[in-house]
Amino acid sequence: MNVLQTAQVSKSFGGFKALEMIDMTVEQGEIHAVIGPNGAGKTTLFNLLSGLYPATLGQILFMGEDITRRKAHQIARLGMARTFQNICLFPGMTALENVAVGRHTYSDASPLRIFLRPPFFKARGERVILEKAAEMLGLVGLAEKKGQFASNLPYGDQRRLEIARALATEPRLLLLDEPAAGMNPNETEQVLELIQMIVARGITILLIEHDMKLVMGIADRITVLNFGQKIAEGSPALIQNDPKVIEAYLGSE
Amino acid sequence: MINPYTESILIFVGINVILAYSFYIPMTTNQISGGQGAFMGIGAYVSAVLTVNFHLPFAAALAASGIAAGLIGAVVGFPALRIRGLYLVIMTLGFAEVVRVFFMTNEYFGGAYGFSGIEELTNLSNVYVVLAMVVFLLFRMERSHLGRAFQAIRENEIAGETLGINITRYKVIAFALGATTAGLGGALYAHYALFIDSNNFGFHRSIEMVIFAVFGGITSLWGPLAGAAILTVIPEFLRFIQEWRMVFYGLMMVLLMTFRPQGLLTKGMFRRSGPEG
Amino acid sequence: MIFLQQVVNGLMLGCTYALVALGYTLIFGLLRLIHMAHGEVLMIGAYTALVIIGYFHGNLLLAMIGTMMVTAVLGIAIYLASIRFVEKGGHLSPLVSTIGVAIILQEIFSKLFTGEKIAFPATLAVKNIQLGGITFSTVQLFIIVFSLACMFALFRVLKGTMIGKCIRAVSENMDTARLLGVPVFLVVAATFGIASVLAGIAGVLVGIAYHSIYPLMGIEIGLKGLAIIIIGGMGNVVGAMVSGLLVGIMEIFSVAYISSSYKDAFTFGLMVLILIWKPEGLFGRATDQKV
Repeated sequence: MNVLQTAQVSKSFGGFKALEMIDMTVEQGEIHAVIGPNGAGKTTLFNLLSGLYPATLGQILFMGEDITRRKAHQIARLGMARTFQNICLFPGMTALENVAVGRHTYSDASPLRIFLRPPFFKARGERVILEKAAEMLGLVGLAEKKGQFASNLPYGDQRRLEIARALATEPRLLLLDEPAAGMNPNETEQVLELIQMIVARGITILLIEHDMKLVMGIADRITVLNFGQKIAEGSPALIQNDPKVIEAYLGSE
Repeated sequence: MINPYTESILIFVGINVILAYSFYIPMTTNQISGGQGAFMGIGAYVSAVLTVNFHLPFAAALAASGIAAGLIGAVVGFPALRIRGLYLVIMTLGFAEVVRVFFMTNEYFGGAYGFSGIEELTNLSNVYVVLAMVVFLLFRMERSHLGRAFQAIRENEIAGETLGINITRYKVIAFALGATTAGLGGALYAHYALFIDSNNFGFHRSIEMVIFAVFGGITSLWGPLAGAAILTVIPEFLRFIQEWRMVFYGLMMVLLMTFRPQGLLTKGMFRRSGPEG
Repeated sequence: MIFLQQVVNGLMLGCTYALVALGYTLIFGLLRLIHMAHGEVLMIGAYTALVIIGYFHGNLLLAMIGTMMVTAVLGIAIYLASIRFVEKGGHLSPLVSTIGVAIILQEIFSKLFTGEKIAFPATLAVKNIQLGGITFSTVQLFIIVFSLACMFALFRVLKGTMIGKCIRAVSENMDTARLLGVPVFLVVAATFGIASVLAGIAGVLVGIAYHSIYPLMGIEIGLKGLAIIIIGGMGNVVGAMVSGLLVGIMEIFSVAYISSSYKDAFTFGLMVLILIWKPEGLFGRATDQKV
């Protein structure tokens, strides 16, 4: 079963067609990249998949389930997590607290327990949440910074923190929106290793990136968008030599 | 025992603190409600009718008025979800106006003549018991994952949604709880003032609650308490301020927003060292 | 013919609403904030006219001029006192500070004049004129014509003059306008002046129409004005004007045919409907939230 499948998915804003008839599949365990020039509709696609925008047309299947009309939090609970192009951390929370929010679906939902707990007893559920959150921070290499406010972290750490937070939801599919944006070659290498580690844990990855070296080096398959349409799809080798892709990036002769 | 004048001030402080919290609670999910006066009024009238017309014991009337206000709050809260910030303020102000007119024109609630003959059932204990419950609930909540979810909604709603937080549910809950709190405040007020009319719960009342909470600091759990207490007590000690209460509050607001918009108390202001995990 | 009669009544009410709404929308379009003391500017405009006519025995023309001058200065003063130095970061701060100004002004005028309604001196010779089967009173005609003239003047200023261009530029993008050399502070001050003059004029017209004014009159009309700019589209000048007239007519009709107490409920109900169904307003343009 494919982790993700879109059928003729389209999105219009008023008269503007941001995405047109996108058919795409993401296979279990693969690293699937979405590339294209700026404005091609990549982030719009992510917003559709994660349920932030309603699709104008088409269908989205996640783990075999139709999620086209589902709300974002329901989709998250089904196992899709994401990061954002413009990092969306919670600035007033520490790194640990940020990741702890990712454990929301696994938290003890009963309000009664919150109020009936005897004083000075730390809630067991809360302890488990924080432990798991700390574990996620360790995975991305931010363990020592868990007490720092997210807004105080350097840029590279913030990106990793966002990934840790998404991982805390224990997703089947992780959408990464430009995880290496603004990074130097060293940091990009670290992101690459992080992605490989995530995949090794059985999580499928759908990735938007502009860094071609990263994409060609790590992706199993690539989908290319331009002006809201899919113009090519296949292995890195195929894409690199596809004339339509070259034209999209460099313009026609 | 305490002299009656002091007792009276303490009761008003207690009620105003409860009302300040009624504005604070929806604010924890970024919902600015300019119409909490309406929910206070609903609580006041419902409780008055229950004790005067139906001779219910005060505790029951109190509970009923809180529930009534909360249910209406939930109903109002739903359309409010689609509405952001400034629009919500206007919408709630409009709602408050409609409620005011409703009570003013409805004979059952006394119409333009108001509702009188209410028994004095409010005292120090029940005011401060209700207050303690509200504060305790909020205190516990903020330290739980629920509080963290609310903070997530506050700081980045969209990110929170993609992490599985049901924004709709929590925002409606916050709005309804705010309404309930206002309703309880209204019921306590009615059974102390002994007479109520629709003008008690209009624009100025709603604004007062906003002022108490904002002055004390809406990022801090203790802000509304400090704000309501201080601003209720000061006019008592300074006669000329009592006469020009609105000018005093207004001036405070302008100065506060210019020089210290976060209010008196802020979250974590008493934290000594760096934040802990 | 009664139907048309009501339309005229509605237009009269709607014209004052439109003038108020225009002020709100100009300021919102410029600074993205709601001027919660705008209703009080209207109120002070009404009282200024009352003082000029009643105490100084001026005529209506003098009162209008006086009101326009006073409210223009008042508007700019309010901007300086409660908006200029207040952070625009959250929505709450300018809201709260302008509410502060509003309640200060309400209380001052309640103490100066009494909180009750006082009679607004009659200045127009009240006559009835028959036009095509409908009876117009001079009061109605004056209000409608004068208001429409003001709105027309506003349009000419916005479209045709330099200051109008500057206002539109700053509304579009303040930083870019500043970089292009537009004197933003002057533009903002001018906008507050214009908006406040419109409110002041509306205040005088309300006094003429209803023969009485009171210090809290700004609250109700102000709230209506806010509902109207939501209906029309916040920041949208045409929207404010058309919606103002529409709401005026709608309210008169609801009073005439349904119930007089709940006319407000219809306006706010319409506002809620718009917020749910077309949140950018009747004349606004839809924008999806960008992530």
